[in-house]
Amino acid sequence: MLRQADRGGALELVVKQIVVSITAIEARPMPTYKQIFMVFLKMGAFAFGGVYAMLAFFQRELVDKRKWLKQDEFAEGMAIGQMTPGPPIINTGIYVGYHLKGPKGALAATAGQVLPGFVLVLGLAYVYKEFEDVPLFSMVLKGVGAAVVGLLVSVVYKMGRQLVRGRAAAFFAIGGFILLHFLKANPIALIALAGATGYLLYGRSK
Amino acid sequence: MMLLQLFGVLFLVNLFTIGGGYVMLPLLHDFFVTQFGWLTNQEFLDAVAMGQVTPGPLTIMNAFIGYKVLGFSGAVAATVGSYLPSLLVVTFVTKYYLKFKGSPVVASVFKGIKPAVVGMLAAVAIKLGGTSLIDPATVAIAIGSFALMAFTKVDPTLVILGSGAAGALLL
Repeated sequence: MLRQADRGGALELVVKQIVVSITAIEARPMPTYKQIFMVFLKMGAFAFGGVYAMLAFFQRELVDKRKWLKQDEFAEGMAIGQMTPGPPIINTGIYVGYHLKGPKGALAATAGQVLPGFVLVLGLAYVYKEFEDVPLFSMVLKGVGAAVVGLLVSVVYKMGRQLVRGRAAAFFAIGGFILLHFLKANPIALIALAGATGYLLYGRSK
Repeated sequence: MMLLQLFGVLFLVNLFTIGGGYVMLPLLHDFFVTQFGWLTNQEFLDAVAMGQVTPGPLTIMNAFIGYKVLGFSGAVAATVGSYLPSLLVVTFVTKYYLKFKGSPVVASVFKGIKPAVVGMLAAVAIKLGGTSLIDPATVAIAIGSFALMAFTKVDPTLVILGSGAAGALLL
């Protein structure tokens, strides 16, 4: 009996999945490996503002401009990137690459994202004694640091307009904000908590 | 032998540190400075500084460590060792996530997570603002870049380059 029920559930899932993928194929342009690599190379090269600036690049290049990703898929990728080992932004890139073209897409995204930093580190390794004292360099970094705050707020604004609709979603957003900002909760634990609350709230009513 | 050791240590450290960046620093310091004696304290600090000024996550500092220890091949081994755990784990997780995304349980879990992520990002923005927005000029740069990103289609590359130039002129 259990088996029968399992099968029914699985079938329903498969049908749903097919419907989801068909609509996804229709709506989504299919990039090549080279295109994935090049976009991530560009984002990797200009992420001087650190990882948070990169989120704005992801949103503009992948969601707004190329439509490879929807706003809520981007948020899913960020959550997965945060909860898996290694740098979250690289992990979000791997999620995007896999999402677009499977394991090789994931590899193309990682290679593109890592390569600029790698080349620059090797270049700097030759000259590294000198550059610390250049005051112009620190002024440039200060300007970029300020811009990153604006970039990040723009990510929140655009993502929030689509994902935070209705009272329940606002409850999760405000809860996440308060717990992280005022109570300094651990972000990984917070995501797990939001997921568990989501399950209690939405999962069992169906 | 050292190449394999370098690769192995970075692979394991990155496999077991969630959050990346600063979480891995104590472990790396313990292995490379204290246990192996491959780097001096100062060289380790230089590696951190290098990771901070280059684009992308701090993790790329490991390429510098590899280079210091074993030259170019060390840099390659260190980089592959650092990012391979991410590639393996995230690929695996994403594969199963996409597979079960349509299930009511996974959907309900992420229905809670997604808006929470937005709220958490807002908290990060405020925290970063507290350290970077120190005078009217930096506040103006932040507001300008927000407006460009939110209301126009300007390429973020230009925003980053422009803010760097503005920093050089104003700060």
